[in-house]
Amino acid sequence: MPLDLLLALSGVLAGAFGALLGLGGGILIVPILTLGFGLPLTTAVGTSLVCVIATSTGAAAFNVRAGRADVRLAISLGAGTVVGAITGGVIAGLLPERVLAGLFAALLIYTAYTMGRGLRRSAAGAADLEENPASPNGPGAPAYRRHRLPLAITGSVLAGNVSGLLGVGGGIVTVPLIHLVMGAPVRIAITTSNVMIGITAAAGAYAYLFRGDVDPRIAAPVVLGVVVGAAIGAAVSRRLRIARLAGLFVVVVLYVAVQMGLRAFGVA
Amino acid sequence: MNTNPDRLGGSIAHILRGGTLIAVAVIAVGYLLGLIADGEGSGTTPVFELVRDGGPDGLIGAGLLVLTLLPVAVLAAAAIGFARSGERSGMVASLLTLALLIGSLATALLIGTTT
Repeated sequence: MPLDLLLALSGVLAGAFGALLGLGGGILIVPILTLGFGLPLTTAVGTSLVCVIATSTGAAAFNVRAGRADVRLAISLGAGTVVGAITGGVIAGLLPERVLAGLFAALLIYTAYTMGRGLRRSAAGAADLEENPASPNGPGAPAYRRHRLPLAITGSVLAGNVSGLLGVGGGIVTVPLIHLVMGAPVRIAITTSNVMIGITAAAGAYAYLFRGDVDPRIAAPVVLGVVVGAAIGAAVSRRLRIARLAGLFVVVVLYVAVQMGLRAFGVA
Repeated sequence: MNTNPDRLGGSIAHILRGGTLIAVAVIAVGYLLGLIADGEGSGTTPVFELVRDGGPDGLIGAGLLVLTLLPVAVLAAAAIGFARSGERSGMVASLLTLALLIGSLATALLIGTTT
């Protein structure tokens, strides 16, 4: 029972974290299950992908209903991430893992720098991180004007690739993509990413489920915890200041960049 | 002609909330029955074998299946919503993503049943 409780609490933590930042929580779940509970990597990744779907559905149910997520954009970019997730597995076999990790670390450092610069600008007075109350996308839709959709679709293939190659949620790329490339406010980028990550993770999760890489007695408490955590995260995110959410995201991006950088140099 | 975002979002939110609740309820019942039975779990077993064999792990497997099929249901609902409102680009994007996801599902099913 204590083991089950720990698994459920890990799920709550990952679900809340994922829903707050538009990630799936896989960044937390995979290390917790492998390092904390000694599970094989395939079981941890399979369980993590199911949990990413749980985080996505749990948080998206709140956000879509409230009109805080851009469903059309999520579906348009979702096609790119699914293609990327599928091709990611193929590319992974062609490139050395250390090269991939190095490229990913460089991308994340650039993302953190760009988002951090945006935060400083907004702190200096610009209101570019806040939602515009006059929606150009119609009644009930999130209020912002979309920019550079073709570039964002191309970027979403990269997000899916990252997900398929490195076993992390595509949210670490899609949130900056929607915010920095498309010009969406951070909160909308996070909620839209929450919808997308479920679609992306599903493309990978089926293989693990049908192959038998998911242990039901491990997955059940984690998934139940994740759903509770995602609901808490979605509710709390409305009360948090946008700059704080974005700042927290930058910290997480830097953390993952360091992990990937260490892997690139063969340290981790 | 544009889709009413409220209506499209409402139907998708309905599927997500209802589907998540059903999946979570089935997983929770299976998990509790497993705790009460206090027996050995099935370990890492293909999900269809879990469901076929029944018992607590079969219920958990069924709940996990429902959960992972929710994105497929969301995309199908979005395609129908866009088609009804005549929004072609949204419909094409939904159908394309849906086809990719079903392709991934079919491939995984094929590999899972032949290995």
